[in-house]
Amino acid sequence: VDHDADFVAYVDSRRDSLVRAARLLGCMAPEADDLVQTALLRCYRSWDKIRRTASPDAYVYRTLVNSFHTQRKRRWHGELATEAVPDEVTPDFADHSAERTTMSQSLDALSDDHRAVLVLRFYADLSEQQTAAALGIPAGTVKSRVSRALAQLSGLLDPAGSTHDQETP
Amino acid sequence: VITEDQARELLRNQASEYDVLPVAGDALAAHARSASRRRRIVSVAAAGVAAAAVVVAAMTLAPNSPTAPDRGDPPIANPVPVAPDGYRLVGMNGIVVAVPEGWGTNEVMCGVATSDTVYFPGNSTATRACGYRGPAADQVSLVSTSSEWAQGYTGWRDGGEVGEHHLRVVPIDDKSVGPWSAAVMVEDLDVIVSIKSNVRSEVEAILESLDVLPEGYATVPPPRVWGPIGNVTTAISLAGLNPVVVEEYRPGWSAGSLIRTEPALGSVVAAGAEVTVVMTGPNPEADGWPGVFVRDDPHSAISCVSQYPDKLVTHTNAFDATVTNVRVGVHGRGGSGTPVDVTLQVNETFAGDAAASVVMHTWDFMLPRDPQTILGTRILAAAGPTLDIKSCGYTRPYDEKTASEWRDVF
Repeated sequence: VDHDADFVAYVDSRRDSLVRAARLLGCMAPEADDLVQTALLRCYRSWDKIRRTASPDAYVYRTLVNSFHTQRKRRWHGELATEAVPDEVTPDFADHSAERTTMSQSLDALSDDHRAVLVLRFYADLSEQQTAAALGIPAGTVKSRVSRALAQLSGLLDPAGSTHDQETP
Repeated sequence: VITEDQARELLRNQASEYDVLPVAGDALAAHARSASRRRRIVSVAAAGVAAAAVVVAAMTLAPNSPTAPDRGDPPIANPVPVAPDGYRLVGMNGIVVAVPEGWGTNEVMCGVATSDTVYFPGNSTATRACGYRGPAADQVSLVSTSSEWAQGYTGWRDGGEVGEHHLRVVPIDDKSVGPWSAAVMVEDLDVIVSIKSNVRSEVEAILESLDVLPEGYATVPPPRVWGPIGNVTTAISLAGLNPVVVEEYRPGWSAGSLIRTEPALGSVVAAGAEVTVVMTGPNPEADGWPGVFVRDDPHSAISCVSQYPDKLVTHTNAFDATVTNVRVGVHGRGGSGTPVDVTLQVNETFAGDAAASVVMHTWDFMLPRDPQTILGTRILAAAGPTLDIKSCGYTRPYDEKTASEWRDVF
C-alpha cells in the first residue's frame, strides 16, 4: 500500500471521529472541520513515518491537540466561530436532549486540560502513555487529571450525586 | 463518581450528536500533495537565492579523475564489480559506492549512526528503540528521491554525469571541523546517496567511487514500506532476485518485520541470486491464550454476562490478530487487579475499522501468571464499542473454523 492510498484509507476511516473529538475539545462545527484538516495535512507530510508507529492514532491526536492550542492562540483576538446566531431559540424537545445539553455544558465547564485528557482517554481510546505523549505530560499526571476530571464531571452532571451513596433506600 | 466506562459512554453519546460533513480522503490527499509541491517550489527558490549569495566551490564528480572509473568507456558485458581492497560495494537502484568493509548495515538509533554503517532511512529493518545520545558515527545513506527523508536537502547543484545518468550534488561542507557531509542524487534512477563522516577524505573517496552497476548484477533492495512480509519479498523479486524467508522470534517486536537480509541490504549480487530474508516470527514458547477466555469456568474470576456466541454479532470490532506487546500497568493496582495493555497486530478485520495495530485493555488476572508468554499468540477478538478484552469466548485462540464462522457472522 503506498503512502497516498494508506493516508486516504486512514482519513476515510477516522476523519469523522477526529472531527467529533475536536467538537468535544470545544470547537464549533466550522472550526472543528478546519482543525482536523490542518492536523491531517500536517500528518500527510510524515505519513510514511506515522503509519509505521505502534499507534498512528496517538500521533494524529497529538497533532490535533497541538493544532487546537495553536489555533486557539491565533484566534484570541479574532472572531469567535459560532454555530448559531445568538438570537436563535433552540427549543428543548425532550428530556434526553436536555441531558445532552447538560453533558455539553459540563464539558464546557471543565478546564481545557481536564477536557482534553477525558477526550483522549475515553473518546479517542488512547492509553495513559499515549495520552501523556499527546499532551506532553507525564503518565502520572494523566492519571491524576483523569481522576479529578471525572470527579468534577460527576458533580457537574449530578450535583446531588455526592450524597447518593449515603442515602438509604 | 463517574466510572471510566460511563465517561466513555457519555462522550460517545455526546459525539454522536455532532453532524460531520463528508470529506473524501482522496480529496484531502490531493490538497496535501498540492500544498507539498508549493512548499518544495518555495524551498528550491530559497536555495537558489542562497546559492547566488554564497560562493561555494561546486563539486563535480570528475569522470576522468585517477580514482574514478572511466565512465566514457563503452559498457563491457557483465564485468565483475570490484571494490578496492578493504572496501565493499553497496548500492540501490543500480547505483553503487565503495564503503569500508567493516561498516555495518542499519546500525542506527533514531536516524543517528551508532557505529559506522550503511543506512536505508525510512525503509530500514526493525531497529532498537530511540534514546541514543552518543556521538554520531560515519554513515552512507541510500534513499529514494521521493522519500520524506530526502526532502530535507536543499541546495542541489549540477554534478556532471555518471554513465548516461545526470547527477545533482550537495557539495562537501566547506568547514575546517567535521563531521563533513555531501550527497549525490541520480534522479532518473530514483536514488540519493548521502555521506556523513568525521574524516573529510573519506567523504571524498566515497563520492568518487560512485558508479553504475553493470547489467547482470543487482543490489539487495530495502522494502518499499515497513510492514508485511510480502512488501519485502516483492521488492527483492522485482529486483530480479530470489527471496527465501526465515523467521526468528524477537520479544516485543511485531511479527512480520524485517530483521535483516543475507547478504545485507545494499550488497551487490548476481542477477537471480538467492537472498535470505530474516523476519520476526511468532514466539515458539507462547503458552497460547488462556482458557479462561474460552469457557465459562466456574472457578474463574470471570463471570459471563452473555454466553458465546449469543452476542457476537453485536460487537463493533472483530479481528484476527497477533499479540506483539504486553505492558503491565505500574499504576492502578486496586482490589480488582492491575491493568494490562495488549498490543495486537491485526491480520484480518471482520468488523469495525481497526488500524494495523491496536491496543486492547484488560487485567492481569485475565492473563497467564507471566503475561509475557502470550507474546506471539494469534487470537480472535470481538470487542466494542471500547477495546476492552472480553472473556467468555469473545477473545479466544485463533482457529480457522471459528475465523470462518466470524467472517460469515459479520
